[in-house]
Amino acid sequence: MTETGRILLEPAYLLHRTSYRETSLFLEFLTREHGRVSVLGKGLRRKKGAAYAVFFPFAPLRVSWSARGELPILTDVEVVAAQPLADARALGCGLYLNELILRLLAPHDPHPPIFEVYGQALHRLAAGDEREAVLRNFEVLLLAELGYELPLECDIATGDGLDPGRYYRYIVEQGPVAALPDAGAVRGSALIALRTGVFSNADDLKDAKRLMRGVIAHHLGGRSLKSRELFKYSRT
Amino acid sequence: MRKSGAIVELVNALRCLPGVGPKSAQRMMFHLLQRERDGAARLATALQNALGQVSQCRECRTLTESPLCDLCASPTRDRTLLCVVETPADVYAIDDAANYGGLFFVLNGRLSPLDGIGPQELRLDHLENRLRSGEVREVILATNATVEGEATAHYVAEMARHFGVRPSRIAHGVPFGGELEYVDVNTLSHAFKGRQEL
Repeated sequence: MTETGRILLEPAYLLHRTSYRETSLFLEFLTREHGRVSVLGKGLRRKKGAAYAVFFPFAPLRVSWSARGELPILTDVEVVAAQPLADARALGCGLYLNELILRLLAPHDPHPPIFEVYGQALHRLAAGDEREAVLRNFEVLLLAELGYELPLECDIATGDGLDPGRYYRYIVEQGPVAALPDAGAVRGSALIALRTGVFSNADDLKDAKRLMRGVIAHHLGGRSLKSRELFKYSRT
Repeated sequence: MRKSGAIVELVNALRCLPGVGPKSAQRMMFHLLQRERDGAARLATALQNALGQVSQCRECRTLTESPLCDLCASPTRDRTLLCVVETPADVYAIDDAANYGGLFFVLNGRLSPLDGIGPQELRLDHLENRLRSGEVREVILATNATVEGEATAHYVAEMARHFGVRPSRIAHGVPFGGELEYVDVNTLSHAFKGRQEL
């Protein structure tokens, strides 16, 4: 569904920008009230300095656009604050968040909680919180808000609560089942950490990462996320 | 009026230039065929020659007429310094501006995961081999100050460290002759964080 009319000073983050023709930019925003919106920034590439530097992802913005035709046209943009991600590793994580949103969230599907959670994730990345934990929390909350909430309450075979000391096999869209500690199994403590958002050790983070990778691949129809390739040489 | 095949073809061909639409392409066609026939012939041969002779340097991937570009072939350049840039135009810009005596490596793009461009698509294995060879001591990352440019710089920096090469990044901040009041927040906050002792 396409909306019509003028939208004024809508809180937004820039997710991605691409060049459009010689002088324009094609901008993908995550907005609070309108979800993911693609807007054409006419003649922006001709502008220099401040007017152009605004269009850097991760900075909290207020964006105005007019949506009459096929493609909404950007009419104004204000920067609320500088983009918070100072070091390159955090930028890579930010790109990963953006790719997740672009792949999983359909355009014009408003989810104000996703907007809030995204903003918080950026702040935590900027503040130097454990990056892997920030990413896992974001993944879980994003999926839940989109209707793919991960069942993490109990062993689906027995109905018993999760035991942090036991191992489980996680069946996508169904939930955990107690299993032997083999290569595909994850610790109960990792499942509990995913549910509560509090990770206390590196092993749990590792298990959670492997689990979420599988879950996300499932929801993306088996396609992988490109921004993961950025971390090939990173020492975690 | 029926326009003949060759004319239409020329107009359409001219439209491959940046900023040239149907109207300006038609104007160029009239100019070339009516008033500048010599120039048109020169343009045609020059274009033909350039296309036939210019290709990528096998070391640095900049545009060159020989298998190895002048910079890579030069015995006076410092082969332990390698400056990584996004486009051949950046090689020209840096070579003109900076007093730089090392070599270049042109990525011909940047890592842009959201556009589906990863290390493989950018053929970074070529750079990897170069760093592995042990000749390079410092790699200078002169990619653009966009998110993709930063991500690329970071990736190559990690790669360099992996092979024991020292990575460095060109500085960015307040433009020369610029007034602080008119500098955007992102640049200014970056400039502030990257302040240097005097």
